[in-house]
Amino acid sequence: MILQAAAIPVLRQPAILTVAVGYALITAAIGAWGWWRTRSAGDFFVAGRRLGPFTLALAAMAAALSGFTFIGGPGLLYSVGLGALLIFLPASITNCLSAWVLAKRLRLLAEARGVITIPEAIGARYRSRAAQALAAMAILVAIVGYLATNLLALGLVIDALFGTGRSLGIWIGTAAVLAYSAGGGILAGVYTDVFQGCVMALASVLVFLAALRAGGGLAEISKIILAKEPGFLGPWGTLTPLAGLSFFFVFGVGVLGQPHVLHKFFMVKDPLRLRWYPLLMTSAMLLTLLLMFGVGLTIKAKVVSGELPPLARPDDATPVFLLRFASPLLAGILFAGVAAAIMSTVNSFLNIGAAALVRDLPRALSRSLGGGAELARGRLATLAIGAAAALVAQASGTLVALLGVFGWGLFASTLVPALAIGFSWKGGTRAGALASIAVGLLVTLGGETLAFLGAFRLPSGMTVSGASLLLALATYLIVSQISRRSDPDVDPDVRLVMES
Amino acid sequence: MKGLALGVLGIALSYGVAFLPGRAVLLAPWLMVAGIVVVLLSLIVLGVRRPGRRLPKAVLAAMGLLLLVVAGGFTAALLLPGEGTSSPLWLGLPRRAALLVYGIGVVPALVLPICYAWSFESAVLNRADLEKLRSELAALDSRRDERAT
Repeated sequence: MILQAAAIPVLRQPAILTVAVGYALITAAIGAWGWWRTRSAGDFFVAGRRLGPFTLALAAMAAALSGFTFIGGPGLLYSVGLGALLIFLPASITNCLSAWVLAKRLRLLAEARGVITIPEAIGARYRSRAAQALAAMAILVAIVGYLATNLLALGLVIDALFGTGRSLGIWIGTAAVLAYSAGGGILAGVYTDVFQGCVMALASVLVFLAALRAGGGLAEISKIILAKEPGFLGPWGTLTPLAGLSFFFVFGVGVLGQPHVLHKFFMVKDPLRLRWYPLLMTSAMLLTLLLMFGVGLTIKAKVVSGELPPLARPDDATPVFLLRFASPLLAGILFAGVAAAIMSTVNSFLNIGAAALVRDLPRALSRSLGGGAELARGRLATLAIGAAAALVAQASGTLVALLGVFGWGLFASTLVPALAIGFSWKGGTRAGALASIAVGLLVTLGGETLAFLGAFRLPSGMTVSGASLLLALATYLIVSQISRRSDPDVDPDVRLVMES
Repeated sequence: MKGLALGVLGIALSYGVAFLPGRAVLLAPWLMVAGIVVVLLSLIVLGVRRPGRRLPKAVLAAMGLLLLVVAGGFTAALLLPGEGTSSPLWLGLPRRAALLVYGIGVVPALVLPICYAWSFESAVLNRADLEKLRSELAALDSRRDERAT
């Protein structure tokens, strides 16, 4: 998913800067506390397995929703109409879906095996180091793009607030996230996520209410838009039904392969407390998604009524709304929310990337590190991945945009079959897992690159990531059927977890 | 698993039919809707089903609701006439959009987490099952240790 890639209108007002500095100080304090509490690889990668349902839900929400929710999302709705909501509507279903399918099993597997990463879970399920290594490589490829787009967006926000310039803004933002991510790992990450998640939800609700008030209420906004562009308020907006439905498929099912969210299930202290996870997570997500709906529609109504000129870029929707219709204090809270959304996502990606480098790949190659070495190397790997992603973010917009396209679809196509289906179906085989991860990786990378370069286009605007998820699912089912034996590739303890 | 395979097949056919010329392409959204609904329901069954136990009523109710709102919402979006300049509004949105936004985006968010919490002990995990699992895992561990020594 592409984030903000062009400069944001300048926001240097005292109230906005005060809120931004206050947000940064609180985040730094929580990060320092997390660093102080981090003493082992278990603390660094799974927060010492101490999380309750409230912390889990807010941390998962903050990791799942990036700055796209606040900047790109309203821009997308402004440009394609209500069809843009088909990316977000599955959120009403997906938290329960992931809880039913994966939450309990991943948490219990962590208890049975000491598993702390998603590739490790796949390796345990199929008794396969190759599957673990392949999943780790897929995650590393996907997070480079995700991280680069998020760090670029963070640099642009910092530039808009402090006038640093894009390049320095990227480095400042990267240094800020690395300060607590490398020191305190996911332990610092989840507790900053809780604060950041609260800021995101608060900012979203306040801006949503301000947007409805500025537009005269939802009915008035709809009447203004219907009078000029009725198709905009159709269920598909300006998308075709097939394009909208393929978004719904990718985001509805693909959630079962997002490692930065699923990884949080390993961290739960008491598996019985998972009972409240979907309720808390869904509530937090819906509140945080209100902003894109309110701002996207209000700005569109203002533009079609002639009160605002057409936006130069769709991604200007939120900044223009804030500068024209919100108080400086609200603008400050919102930009703290944007920074929070980006930083919480970046922290999660840094952590799973570091785990892939220092835990999954060495173990797949039979070179397990000790706990102390794993913690030290985890910190170094976090720094290295952050620096590499910041360098990529400095590169051309085209490269960053191309990498940003991969993220969600690559996670979905490589991990959903082997993980979500594999942990629910004992008939899934090692060969099926390996084949589906490889197909997901190759088809997503190849297909998205060719589509990005304009070499081909699927009919009716259907998504390439939907096609690659579909192919990976079909590959897993077919290869598992062909390679199925009387003795499935499941260890007795893993089987107990799957049947629990 | 048959349901999941069928759902995947439906979505794959939808992608395939979209390439065809003429009116055949009109079938594609219907195949996609059917495929998505079947995949979602199959994943829930796969996730919740446990050996020797029936699906709890709260889970069946959640699945029924999901079928109703997702299939119903998309069917309405595909079948009902498009919006005009004076279309009536439902809760501030034109009818088709309201069915989609409130039907698929809000109703499941209010009901599914309640169903999940309500049926947690029967459908997901309860203390007795957890303790049984832990003792079985401990027994496996000790057998493994005995073999190693």
